[in-house]
Amino acid sequence: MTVSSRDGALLAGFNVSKRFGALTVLDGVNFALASHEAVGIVGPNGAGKTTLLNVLAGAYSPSGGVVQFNGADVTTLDAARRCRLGIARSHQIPRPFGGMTVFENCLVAAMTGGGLSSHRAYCRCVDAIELCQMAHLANRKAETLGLLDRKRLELARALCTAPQVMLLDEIGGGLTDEEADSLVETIQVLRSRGLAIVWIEHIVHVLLRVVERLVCMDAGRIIADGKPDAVIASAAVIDAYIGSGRA
Amino acid sequence: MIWVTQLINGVLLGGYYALLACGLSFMFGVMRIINLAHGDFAIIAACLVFLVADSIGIPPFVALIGVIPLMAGLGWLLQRGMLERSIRAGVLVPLLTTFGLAIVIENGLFEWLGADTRSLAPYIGDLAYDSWAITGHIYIGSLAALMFVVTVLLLVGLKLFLTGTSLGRAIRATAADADTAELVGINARSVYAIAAAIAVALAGLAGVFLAMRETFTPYSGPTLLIFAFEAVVIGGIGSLSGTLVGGIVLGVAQTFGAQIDPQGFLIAGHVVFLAVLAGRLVLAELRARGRFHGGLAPLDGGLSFAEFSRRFTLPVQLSSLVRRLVIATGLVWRRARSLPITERLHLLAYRVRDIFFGSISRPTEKGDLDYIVERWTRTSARSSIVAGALLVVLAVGPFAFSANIVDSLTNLFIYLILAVMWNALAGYAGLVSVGQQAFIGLGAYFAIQLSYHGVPVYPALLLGALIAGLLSLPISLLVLRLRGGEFAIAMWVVAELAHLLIILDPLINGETGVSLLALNAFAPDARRAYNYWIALATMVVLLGLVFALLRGRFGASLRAIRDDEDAAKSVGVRVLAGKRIIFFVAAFGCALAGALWLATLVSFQPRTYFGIQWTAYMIFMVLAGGLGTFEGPILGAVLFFLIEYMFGETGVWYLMGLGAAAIFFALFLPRGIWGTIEDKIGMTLLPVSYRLWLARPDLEPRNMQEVNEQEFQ
Amino acid sequence: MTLLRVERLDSRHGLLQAVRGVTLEVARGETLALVGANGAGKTTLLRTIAGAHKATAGRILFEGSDITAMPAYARLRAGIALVPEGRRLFPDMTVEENLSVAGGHGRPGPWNLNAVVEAFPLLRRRLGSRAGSLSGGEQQATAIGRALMANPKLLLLDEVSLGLAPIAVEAVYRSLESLIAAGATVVLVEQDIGRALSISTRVACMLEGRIILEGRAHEMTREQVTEAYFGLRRAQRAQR
Repeated sequence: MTVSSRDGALLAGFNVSKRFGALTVLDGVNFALASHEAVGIVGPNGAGKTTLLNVLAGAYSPSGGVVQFNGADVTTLDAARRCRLGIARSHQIPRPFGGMTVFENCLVAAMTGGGLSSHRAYCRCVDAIELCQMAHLANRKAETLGLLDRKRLELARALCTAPQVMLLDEIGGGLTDEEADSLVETIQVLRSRGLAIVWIEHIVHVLLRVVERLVCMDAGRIIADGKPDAVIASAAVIDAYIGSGRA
Repeated sequence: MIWVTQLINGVLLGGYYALLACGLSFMFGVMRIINLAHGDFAIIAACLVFLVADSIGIPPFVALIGVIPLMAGLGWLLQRGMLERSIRAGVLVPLLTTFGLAIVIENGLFEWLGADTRSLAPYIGDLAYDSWAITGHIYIGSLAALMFVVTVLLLVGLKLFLTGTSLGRAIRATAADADTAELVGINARSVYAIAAAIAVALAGLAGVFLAMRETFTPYSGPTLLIFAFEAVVIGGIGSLSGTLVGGIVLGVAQTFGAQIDPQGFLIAGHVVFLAVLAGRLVLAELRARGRFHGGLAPLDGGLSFAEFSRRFTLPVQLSSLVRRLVIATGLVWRRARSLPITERLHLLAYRVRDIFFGSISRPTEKGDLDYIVERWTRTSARSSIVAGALLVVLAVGPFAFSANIVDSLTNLFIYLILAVMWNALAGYAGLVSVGQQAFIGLGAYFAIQLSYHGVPVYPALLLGALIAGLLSLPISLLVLRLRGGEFAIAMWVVAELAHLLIILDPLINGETGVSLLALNAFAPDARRAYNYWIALATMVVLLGLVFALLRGRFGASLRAIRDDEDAAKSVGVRVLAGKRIIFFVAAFGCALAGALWLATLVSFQPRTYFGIQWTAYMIFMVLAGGLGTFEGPILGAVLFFLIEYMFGETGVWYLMGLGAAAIFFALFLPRGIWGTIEDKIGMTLLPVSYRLWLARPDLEPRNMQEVNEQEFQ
Repeated sequence: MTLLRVERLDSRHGLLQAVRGVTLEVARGETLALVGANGAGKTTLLRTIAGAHKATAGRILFEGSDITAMPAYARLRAGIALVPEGRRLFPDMTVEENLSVAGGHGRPGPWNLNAVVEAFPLLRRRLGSRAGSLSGGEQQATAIGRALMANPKLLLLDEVSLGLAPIAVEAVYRSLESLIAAGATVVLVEQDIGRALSISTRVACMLEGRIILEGRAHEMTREQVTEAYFGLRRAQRAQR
């Protein structure tokens, strides 16, 4: 199992554990993301992928271990603070601000998370909305949107916080081929702008088109970490994800 | 020795509170609904038993046999008829519908039976005042002891029912996981209805016991609700044995408090409640403190006071506005050098309008426009002019209108302030408070205090309100960490506590109250005019302030908090700080309303100012007008004012109508009148929103024309 | 003969169209395995059959009669029992209570408390324990037992190996094998392809709400299923 160098890592978790009562969901996880890197996270249900994301984003405080961002210890900072520092995330089940329009959703993010004001905030939002192909929906109330558009809104909104890192949680679920293609294009544009990405996904074929490194988790631990082809073909991953054969 | 007697009495009283509380706790445990009409159902039972005993002569204990099943039936009806629908509509709606129901019940009972205080004591013979001597000096009342025993038996019986019977297990399963309960064959709808029936039947029994212990009136319900809620929270929500413990703690606290001072009875209870709540929050905070903190303790997310003031103060925003104006003027003047003066002024006017009403554009290299952000629409511009004209007309009110109308309008202005404040809290921040009357009363109280200490009358009103508003900051430390129904009722307890503490002030003279004598220095006509103008001015300034706040970055953050607090955190919103600010603004606004009310009434009777009817009015105005819109509460206030003008004389029917209307709006027209209009037609008169127009072929031509007009060649 | 027939079923999970036009049949005594990546719609399909999700289009026929409109609790009585994903026991109730809750609402038949304890001997000592305090394997046994207490004609199992240590999974599958040997009709969702292939008579692979591969278990290879599971062919096509 290879772990990429921790020196100069943009976002890193060292020996991260998370327990909910007697249940240990994360067990001594070491994870590092370099600048401009795109890492995918796969693994069976209950492996702890979303929990790891939540710990990195600040939605959960870890039971043990340390989270670092740009070399600084951010373990004790909450989600809002981390967002303002540059860690953005999308939610697995989209959580839009239903009573506000798409544009306003992005605006809140730009003004608070991004710390921008009026003119610059508007520019940023328009950019994000156009990038995520939501321009025709800009003035629609978020609660009227369908699932796909909500996912796009999650992405656009996270973008507006001017992040250095984007944590994506199963943003590809439920998409048709064309929709998956356009999502991949969007994310590749983001990568070309220098954004680092951590992407949890089950739709592996979509993931493989974007990420340059793949991490596989199982039962709260990382069991594989390296080039995507190698990880998919590795025995451990096949065992855990695809399942061991009996006879 | 007397303390031992009091302790025992306190414990026995606690048993009664536990009985009162367990119905509330049961309903919350199974269905997550806080039934704000719980106390009123208890009173219904008391009234029924009284009627039966009084007119037919059946003794209360026998009447129970018929009344309890009747109450169960009422509970079943409540769930199937009203609550079932409410649960699906979100967290706010059950609170509002049960609140409306409470008002309907209280006033309906009053209408039916009158305001007489009644008691079942005469009908239970010696039991009412018998007591047993334990040792030489310790006596306990037999009725109290009986109630305690019944309560314990009932709690044990309830526990056995829940653990030992098939239905009981079905209830527990549904409470744990209604979805999975269906998968194991349980009809969740039926279970909920049965649970509601049990909860209301328990409330009924407690009500009958109350009637035996002491007196009751149709309006005794809310007090019972508060006691029940306090007992539940002290003992820990969701635990039956905890309810007994909570009841006992409350009973003992109240009994000991009564020893210290007659008023101490209620005060001690509320103080212990708030102390337990605070203690629990502090403990939770300490436990989480190890891993999470954001900087300055009360404010979250590492926001230092410097940052805080930098972002949110009005002076800062004003100076930025001036800066933009200066820059814009300079730019326009320079670039339009070739144009005649009139043209330049014309362009400048457009630019200034842009800045004030926010059509910010981003020119591309070619000088074309890429997008426009519209903060203001044509309709709203026109309606602002109309509103301005209306204000001018209103300003000359005292000269033009009769005394009656001036007085009525002053009341309208006060109602408007209250409606806008409650909407700011509930509609924009999602904080439903059933206790804003705390600040109404405190504003008036401090105004009186200041006046009696020599401050000139009208400044005293303003300062008094400010003090009351500032008091909201320490209160917010406790209550803002609560959500939903807990926050609502905690605010109510704060209001009750404030009421009780104020009465202790010798200046206030208990419930009799005191007058703002300094107002007598003014002749009635002058006073009327001053009150009117000050109310009008206050209303305009407050509305303007709230409007400006909501239009800015803060307003957007608030709406995000209202829609999804956790998602708001994930995009960087400082949730706790935002709530605190709006809480302060709403408190200050309500306090101002209270001070203004004092100026019109002249006399300060605590009950009038701290009464729950204010919340009823605010809820009605906002619900009917439109929760979460800016125009809604204004419309609602006007509506309310008209209704009161026309029907206020009819007394209870008017109040019942209000309660029924609140239920109707909450269930069927949740967006209110204006909200529904806004949804259907899309018209906004006072927009806080941002609309984006992109330079695309499908853009409406008028916008591009406007844009071309103001662009320079 | 056909016990369950699903015709062109559409079902939503929140806003997502999770099941798109699924048609399948299960004969009495058969064991059908549903495999596929997460989000493929397997759990939603199972829950729709059990009545926990509403079908937006299509029909469900059980023993010949249309039960599409029947609420979940009535379907239990009719003979369909679901062991939900993640076990979903009632945590503050004891094992015995969890079992009897279902028993009281199900059909008469050979399964009762004693029979369940015999089938899952590890529960014998744990009957009085709070369900929330059990280990994963014990919880799974309880959950399956709870479904059996209703004496179902059709048993639906959703990811019974989820979050369990391999040894616990072994135990669960051994019990399943004896159930199946005794003639139970089972539809199970399983992420572990190997296990699914070994225990079932037929396999259906789902991807993004549709069944893309279906056949008799002994006729299919792991490679075929793996490819379908990941949609790998599609990824390779896109990269070219």
